[in-house]
Amino acid sequence: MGKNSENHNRIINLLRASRPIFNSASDIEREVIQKISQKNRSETVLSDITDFLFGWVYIGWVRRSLITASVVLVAYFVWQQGTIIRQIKYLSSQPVMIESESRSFQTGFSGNKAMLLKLFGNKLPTQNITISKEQMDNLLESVNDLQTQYRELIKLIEEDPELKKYLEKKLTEMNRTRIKL
Amino acid sequence: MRLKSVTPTILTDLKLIEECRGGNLEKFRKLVQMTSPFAFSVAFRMLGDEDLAKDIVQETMVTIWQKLNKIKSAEAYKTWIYRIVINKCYDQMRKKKSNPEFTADENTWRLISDRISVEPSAELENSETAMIIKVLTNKLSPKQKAVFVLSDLEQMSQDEISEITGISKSGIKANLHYARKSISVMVEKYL
Amino acid sequence: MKSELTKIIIMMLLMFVVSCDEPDTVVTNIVHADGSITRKIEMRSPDGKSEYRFKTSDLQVPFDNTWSVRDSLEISPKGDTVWVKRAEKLFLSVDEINMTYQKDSGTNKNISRNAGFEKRFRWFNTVYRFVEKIDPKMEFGYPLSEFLNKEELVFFYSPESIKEVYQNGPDSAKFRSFGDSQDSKIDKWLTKSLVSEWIGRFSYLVKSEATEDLSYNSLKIREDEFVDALSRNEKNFDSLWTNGIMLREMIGEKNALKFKTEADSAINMVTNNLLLDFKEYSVRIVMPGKLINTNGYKDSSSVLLWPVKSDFFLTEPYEMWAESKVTNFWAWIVSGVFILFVFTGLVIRIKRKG
Repeated sequence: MGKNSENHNRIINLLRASRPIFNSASDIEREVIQKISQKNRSETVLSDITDFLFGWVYIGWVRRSLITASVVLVAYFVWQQGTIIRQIKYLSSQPVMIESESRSFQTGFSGNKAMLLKLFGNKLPTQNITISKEQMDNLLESVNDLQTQYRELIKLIEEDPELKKYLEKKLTEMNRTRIKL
Repeated sequence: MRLKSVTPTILTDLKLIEECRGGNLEKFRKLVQMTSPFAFSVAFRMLGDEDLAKDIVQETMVTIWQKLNKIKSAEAYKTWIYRIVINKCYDQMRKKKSNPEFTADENTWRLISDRISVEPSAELENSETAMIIKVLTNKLSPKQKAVFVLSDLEQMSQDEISEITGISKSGIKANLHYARKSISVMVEKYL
Repeated sequence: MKSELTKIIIMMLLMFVVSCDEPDTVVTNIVHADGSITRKIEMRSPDGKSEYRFKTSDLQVPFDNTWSVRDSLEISPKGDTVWVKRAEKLFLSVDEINMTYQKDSGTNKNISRNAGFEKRFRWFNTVYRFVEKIDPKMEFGYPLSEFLNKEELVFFYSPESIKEVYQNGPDSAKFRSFGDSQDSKIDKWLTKSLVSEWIGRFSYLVKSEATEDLSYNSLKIREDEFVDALSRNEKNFDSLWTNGIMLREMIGEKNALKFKTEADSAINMVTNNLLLDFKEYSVRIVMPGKLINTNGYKDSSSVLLWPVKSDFFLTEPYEMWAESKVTNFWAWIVSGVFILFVFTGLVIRIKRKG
């Protein structure tokens, strides 16, 4: 056992002292430098292209200008699209017309035309109109009906003093000067 | 003529590293000159093959060139070199998975045995060193072998070995104990 | 009073009859991205006519023999025969449309109309704007917005079917009450505008001969007085004016005698501007790309439509406009590539620095 231990130690010491002989240092040097140069060359081509395309990144004012331009572009895009979307949304919330009723806007006559006719009826340029006999008959019939209804209405109002008073008061309040009783 | 082995010095010159970082290949050549011998020593003792050890050294130096920016101190550089070498040795050892029990022929062993007995202080040749280490560490795992080489042959402290291998101190103790025991058995058997 | 009322009713009924005799006209402007416009006019005879001839005097919107014109007969949903005249023409630009308006000899030739087209490049989109504008008839009239609030204005300009939607919608009570309150406000607007127009015209006619009290500013200060006088004497206005009584009350006897002719001329000008015989029609616009803004009314197929009534352009210009946008996809791509390029450059810089 003791001899074994002695042998063990002797071997280890021997191994420790006998550092591996390194006799190809220059070869290794050369090969390492060669490999590095090769790598550098291939990286250089890529690096050249990158520098050509992105060399501006190292020029302060160019970099800042391009960043500003990008930010402005994005901001403008967001603002523009936002505005358009808002407008479209507003439009879609508007009431939609029914096509069948879109054809004619002629409502016959509006109330204010009555007022204008009263004021300037005689001053309107005279014009000839052509209406059929049937239309004329309808017209006269409508006038007669209106006159009858009007007479009946006036009779109703005159027979009821309270109603008359109430109506006159209401008309005065609303300032309806178009038609006065 | 047998060249005297150079005892590598621990690199303390951070300035040289910084000069290399700037892409100075001449300075890097100097760094290679300073680093490669002890990288070779570890690699050869781990693999027992001169050619393989040289390849490991080359790859290690190329890796160092690419990652010089990461080195912040001379101490860090030393640990880092060893770590790269050991890891590359592990990769190599994994490739050669089968480990048949090494047997040298009888004549060779007699010559070595005589040599040791007659000239105990004589330095061994690389082939002899390789053979002996191969025999003695045949039963060891890569980790155990690495711990043995770094501790008993390269004479590093446990702290250093722990940093290089990533094994805890208690793990190193355990691995070293087992390695030494195994080697004793081999010594008794063959020498 | 009764005979007066009868007279008014008959006149209004006559107007109704007259207005029922004019064709129902829709003008469609199909706007193309290059600024050309395909204009289509569709005139439909009034329902119930067994025979109908479209006359030049009927044309609310002018067209001539350079247009491609087609006549056809259709049956209305009520089962009546409807005579339809369709005219179509491609105008290379709005200038050609405007020239057509200038040469108009149709029934609405007295109104000043023009069309405008604008194309604005906004990088990510190109915005198109088309407008048909009718200039106001009155120079000194009041804008309707001074008498009607925002909601009332929207209601006023809406077509009948839209008014029904409002009156049956969530705020139906509010919109139903608009009908009555609007009438009195519109009367006020009309009266004030008429008086203001007369003041403007009259003061201009007598400018060289009259004293300071007949200047525009002096008369304008008394405008409310004139409006009051008109309102009080609405019933007999015509006879009061003819006898000079009204004028004497307004500008004094001396001035009334001296400037009766000018006063009558001014009132004739005002009357002419009233356009009581204006023939209504409707305008539709189809824009290129996607519609983004308009003051018109859209139907279910997103075609825009506007009514054209004389009230709408009495005192203010009536604009029918629409805006649409077409996406410039190439600009999106270029911008995306540019931003990616800048971003990549910055990343490379950061990586190299690190």
